[in-house]
Amino acid sequence: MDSFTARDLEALRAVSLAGARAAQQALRQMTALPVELEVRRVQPVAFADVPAILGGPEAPVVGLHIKVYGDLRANVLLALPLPSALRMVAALFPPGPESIEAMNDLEISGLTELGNVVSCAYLGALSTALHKSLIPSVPAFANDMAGAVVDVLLIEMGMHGDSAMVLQSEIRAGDDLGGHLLLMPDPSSLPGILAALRESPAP
Amino acid sequence: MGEYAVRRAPARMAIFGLGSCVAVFTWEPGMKIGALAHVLLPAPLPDQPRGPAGKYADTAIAAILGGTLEIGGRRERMVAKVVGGAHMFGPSPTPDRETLGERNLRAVLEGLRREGIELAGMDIGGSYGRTLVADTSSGIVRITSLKREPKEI
Repeated sequence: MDSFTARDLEALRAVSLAGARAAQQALRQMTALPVELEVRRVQPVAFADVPAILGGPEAPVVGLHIKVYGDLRANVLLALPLPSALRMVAALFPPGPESIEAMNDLEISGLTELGNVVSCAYLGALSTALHKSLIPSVPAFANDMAGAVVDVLLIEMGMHGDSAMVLQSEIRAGDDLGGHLLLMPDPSSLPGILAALRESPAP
Repeated sequence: MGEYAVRRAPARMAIFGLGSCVAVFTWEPGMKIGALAHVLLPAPLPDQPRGPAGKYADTAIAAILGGTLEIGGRRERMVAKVVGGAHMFGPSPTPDRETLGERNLRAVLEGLRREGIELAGMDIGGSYGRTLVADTSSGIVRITSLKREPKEI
């Protein structure tokens, strides 16, 4: 992480932009909602500061966790505040459930599928930009406090250090739709990413 | 995450949004000293950077024990309470494969046993997040969750 220069982070931001664009398109197509995905942070973040990115350690969120396999290993987390998650489920299966707890299997499956499509789009764009394979797992679903939802991802990375390289995009559609898409590469994959960024000019 | 602290009463110590990590709280009732660590992993790997003491079960327990004794606490009076180690994502864990949360819990409980610190309460496992607030005056730990009624241990 320390070997990433400002220029490398800029190049990584450009790659992240391509990912965000693709994810935005996928999300709009699936939900017909006017969502925007904006790249926010592309930098190392201390583990203790990651929950704040998601709205704070106690913020209730729906979390979709995708493990990434292939040339690069990573974790992707789509974290949606509950009203956003409900709105997206309602867009997929109108009129939608009363609450997240009241979601039936079909609705949970739909939301999981949304996480799958959005992360596939994002990872596909990254894969093209970095010339590396990035293969997503089926998303796993959780609904709880943001700190509790993200900490297992940080534990895995904790074997190699105390901070994570975070590529963060914020999901927005006016005032009432929010959320975050985080991509956190496995520390062992960072040298591969660095090499790929330096090999080819930024898209 | 990975931090620890030692406080005399009156003080409240808290960890918010605990998932698979494990919180270890020790209390020395004579001097009213509380110590809290936020553990991520059982132990450091030999060839990896060490990181903060609170991060690993073994170094965290040593740090909170040492910190308590340093300010006049007595080891034989100390009790411990353990919270967390949940499994947040996906289907229920299977018996043949330990989750990260379970692995952390095992390391913490073994560490406490090794140091001879009595276990006075636990709120562990499950598939829900927890916030805990520990009161160094009473040694009581209050646990709140989005999915469950508040609980005290």
